[in-house]
Amino acid sequence: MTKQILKKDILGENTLRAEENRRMFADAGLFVVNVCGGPGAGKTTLISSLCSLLGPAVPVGVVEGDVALDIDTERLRDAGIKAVQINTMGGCHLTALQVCRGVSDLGMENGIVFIENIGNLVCPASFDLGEACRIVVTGVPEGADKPYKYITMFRSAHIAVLSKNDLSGAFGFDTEYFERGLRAVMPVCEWYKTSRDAATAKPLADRLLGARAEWSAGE
Amino acid sequence: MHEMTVAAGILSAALGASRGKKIRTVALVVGELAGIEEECLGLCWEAVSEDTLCSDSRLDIRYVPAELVCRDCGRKFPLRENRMLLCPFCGGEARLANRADELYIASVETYDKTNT
Repeated sequence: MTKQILKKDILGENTLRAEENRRMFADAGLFVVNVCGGPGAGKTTLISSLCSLLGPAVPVGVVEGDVALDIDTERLRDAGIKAVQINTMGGCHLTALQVCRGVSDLGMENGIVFIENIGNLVCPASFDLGEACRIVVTGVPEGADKPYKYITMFRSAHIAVLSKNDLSGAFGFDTEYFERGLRAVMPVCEWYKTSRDAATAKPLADRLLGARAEWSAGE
Repeated sequence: MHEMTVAAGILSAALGASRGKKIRTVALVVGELAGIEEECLGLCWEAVSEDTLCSDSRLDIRYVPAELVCRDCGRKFPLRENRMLLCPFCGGEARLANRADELYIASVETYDKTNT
């Protein structure tokens, strides 16, 4: 018998493609934000709010990932937001290759692109898309225990968003418990509260503009 | 949930290293937080490796546990059984101490004879 030492990354093909994406996005001046969260967490609403807040200052576009249908893309287009759809036909996460095609289809330069990942707090955590910033969204009705249960996802995110905060009282949301979970698993604990009203996303929109400026300076 | 993607990735790498010989064992390193369920991966492996040089091979998985460290007393302890992320010694707040998201092929072992 012969033993060969390999030390080969099993998801290496995706990782290589993600690095190519990162170069492609940098060349095009696109600050790409990967928005993850479970189904119904409020990803599309958040993206829509951020686009309406950022749109006047900087070109924005959205790559919509869904298992099927283009409901979210239509919703964004109805709001005047440039959006393209990726359907994974059952796939549980977006891959770097799919995102490469999606971002190319947007045909944008020098702006901010939001990628709405498949509604899933597990698999998207393991797939680098070449993004500059990863946001994880969880809603008040989902419960305060999400950072404890989905450690890999929350750890992989730069920013966490707690959506549907206007429902906090009705659901008896335990903010202290939620925040302690974030502090335990996120490398740098940074999180924002939002609600359906787009204005609640203003601090996050400003933060993304700042992050984009830092990113541009670093490229 | 994406064990099939992972199994296909292992197959591609193992076949690439096989040099035409039948594979006996593929040694993997899998972190506790890599999101891989071993039994599911085993079933996917059986399916993707069928009729290849990897058929009937064994996945030998070395599991890397996730650890927490207490912010107050500095002691380390396993994440498993401490899912409230609190220190079992002093009750202090804990944070993750390692990544535990490893997911790679450490080695492959082939039979010496060229496949027949």
